[in-house]
Amino acid sequence: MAEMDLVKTGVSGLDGILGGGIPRGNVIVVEGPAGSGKTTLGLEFIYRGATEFNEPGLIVLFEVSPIKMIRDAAQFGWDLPELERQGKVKIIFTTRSVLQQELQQADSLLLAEAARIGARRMFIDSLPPLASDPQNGQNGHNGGAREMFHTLVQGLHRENLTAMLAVESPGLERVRDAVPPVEEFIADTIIFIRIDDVQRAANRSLEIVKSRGHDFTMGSHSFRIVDGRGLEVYKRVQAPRGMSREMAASYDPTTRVSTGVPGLNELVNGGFFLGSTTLLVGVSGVGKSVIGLQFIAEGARRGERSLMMSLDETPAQIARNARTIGIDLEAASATGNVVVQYDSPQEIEIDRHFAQIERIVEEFQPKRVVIDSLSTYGSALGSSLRIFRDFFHALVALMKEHQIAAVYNHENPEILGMSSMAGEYGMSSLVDNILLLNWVELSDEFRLALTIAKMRANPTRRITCECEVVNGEGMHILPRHVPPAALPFGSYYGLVSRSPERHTVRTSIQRS
Amino acid sequence: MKGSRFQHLLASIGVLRHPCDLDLLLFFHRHPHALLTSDRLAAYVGYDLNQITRSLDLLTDAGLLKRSQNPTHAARMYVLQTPRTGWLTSLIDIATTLDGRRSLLDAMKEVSEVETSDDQSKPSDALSRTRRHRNVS
Repeated sequence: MAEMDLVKTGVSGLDGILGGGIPRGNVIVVEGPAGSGKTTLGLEFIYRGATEFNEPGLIVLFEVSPIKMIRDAAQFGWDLPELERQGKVKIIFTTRSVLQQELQQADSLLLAEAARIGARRMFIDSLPPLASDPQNGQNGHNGGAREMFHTLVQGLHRENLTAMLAVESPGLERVRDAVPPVEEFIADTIIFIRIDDVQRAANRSLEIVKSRGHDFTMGSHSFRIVDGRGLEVYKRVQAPRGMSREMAASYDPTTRVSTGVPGLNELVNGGFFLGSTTLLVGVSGVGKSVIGLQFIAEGARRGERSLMMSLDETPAQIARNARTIGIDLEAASATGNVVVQYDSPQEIEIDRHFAQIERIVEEFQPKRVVIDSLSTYGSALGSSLRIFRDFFHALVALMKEHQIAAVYNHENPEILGMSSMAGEYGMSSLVDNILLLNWVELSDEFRLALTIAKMRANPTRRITCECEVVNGEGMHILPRHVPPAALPFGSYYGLVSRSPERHTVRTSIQRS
Repeated sequence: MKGSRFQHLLASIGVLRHPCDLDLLLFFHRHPHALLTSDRLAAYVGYDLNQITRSLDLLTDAGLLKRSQNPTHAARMYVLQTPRTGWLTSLIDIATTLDGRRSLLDAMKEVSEVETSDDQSKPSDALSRTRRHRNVS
């Protein structure tokens, strides 16, 4: 079977969603409201074609003056006047009716200009909305636009140009009509651009609803318009990433990764497996981040690449916290084996955020990853529990594909004891190991307890151990035999159930 | 003082005589490749069709504008030609500001009044200036 001739858009992330590109000669309709990014997308399609794929392009404008388009393009670092001088781009200002007439004429002046520069791409900005209202037929006020669209598409097919047409949609959000508008039948590829209101912020997303002649990833994908770069499209986090990731559902059951917490390795049979997912659950301040930092520091000590991804604290704050437990994170970072990445949880765009983690993991290839913390993702995503679960699922699959021992901190709101391990997030089934960190109130003090609640395919004793965080040293697990004056945890029932009770028979202490 | 500077600039350019000439030149600066009918141009620039036709002829004769010649097409392709000398850039820099354009139009009117009286004695002067500026890239 002949390989399909695909036209790469060159837009970051878009070709991946399009399965490599758009079949040559397709007429692409980009539909969206004002300010959604249609013009920038079209402009980048032409710019990348001219600069990266040696495909000259023609830009046809009706409303925006070329001088403004040139100015706007310069913001992204795209020098259109230089490309015009090189004969790789031509910008022509005209009217819709002239364009329609031109495309009906074999000796079209417009197409002659396209031929003069050897154009393979065209961007037309923009056409009015073509409503699906049946009354807008031949006699309706939109009939002209429909007729023009037909003529336009036929003319473009004749010239075998891969053309992108920006079509204005009437509202901020594209409402799918019961009867699709005419351009959806005629165009080969249709991309909807939306501006979604998310908790008083506005996020851009695009969706490929149709593209003849090839496979593509359906659904709504986030994108941003970035100064100095152009569009960055982020595949929706739920979308499949290929067989290798789908198949990477297990971990290496032979290689263990030391936890870096004195005494903890013994409780987990020597360490976490490569490719395993470990959840540290506990109330704020209980020591989850401390364990995370010690896990990272242990990796650095062993010369293993480690990534700490934080939504809670900036790298400077994390480095300061690390110093208090005797970890020089800045020195570890300087060796190149540790990367501390921070992203603000405010107005987080989960597709973009996941793409960022994916890029770091693929480029940096860490052996250890700490995510601090999952609960911040939960609150940042608001009521979108489903999105959180999809994100976590994608994150786990990514880590398993790269055989990373990943530790996720998760804040449990209950200060004493726990009634649920992962709360409403329902992610326990995806997790291999769960370590519960609890405050236990005994006498007049809070003492710290660590319980191995789950160790998948890694049998161990489900015991609750006492541990402590020492200034300048970090966390360690206390020996189970403690001086009789301070009773060990083994002297009590129900330590994690909010109501510990002391044994009355001394022998139970001796047994442990 | 300012007015005389603009008059001097216009005199050195020599081509532009009517406000429509300037506005049309500015339009083509903003739209260096335009495929338009004269009617549409008149609507965009804001002058009557006869004046647009005269100004288009003037700019074309001066070599500042190239236009396609095809009677079967309602629209023509207009391509701005950049003069080798830098006067167009200087003119655009001035004319793209609100005050600059107004001052240029005022200066143009004054020049036009002077030339009207001069033209009665030297009718071929404008044509000779037009020919002087055909040296374009």
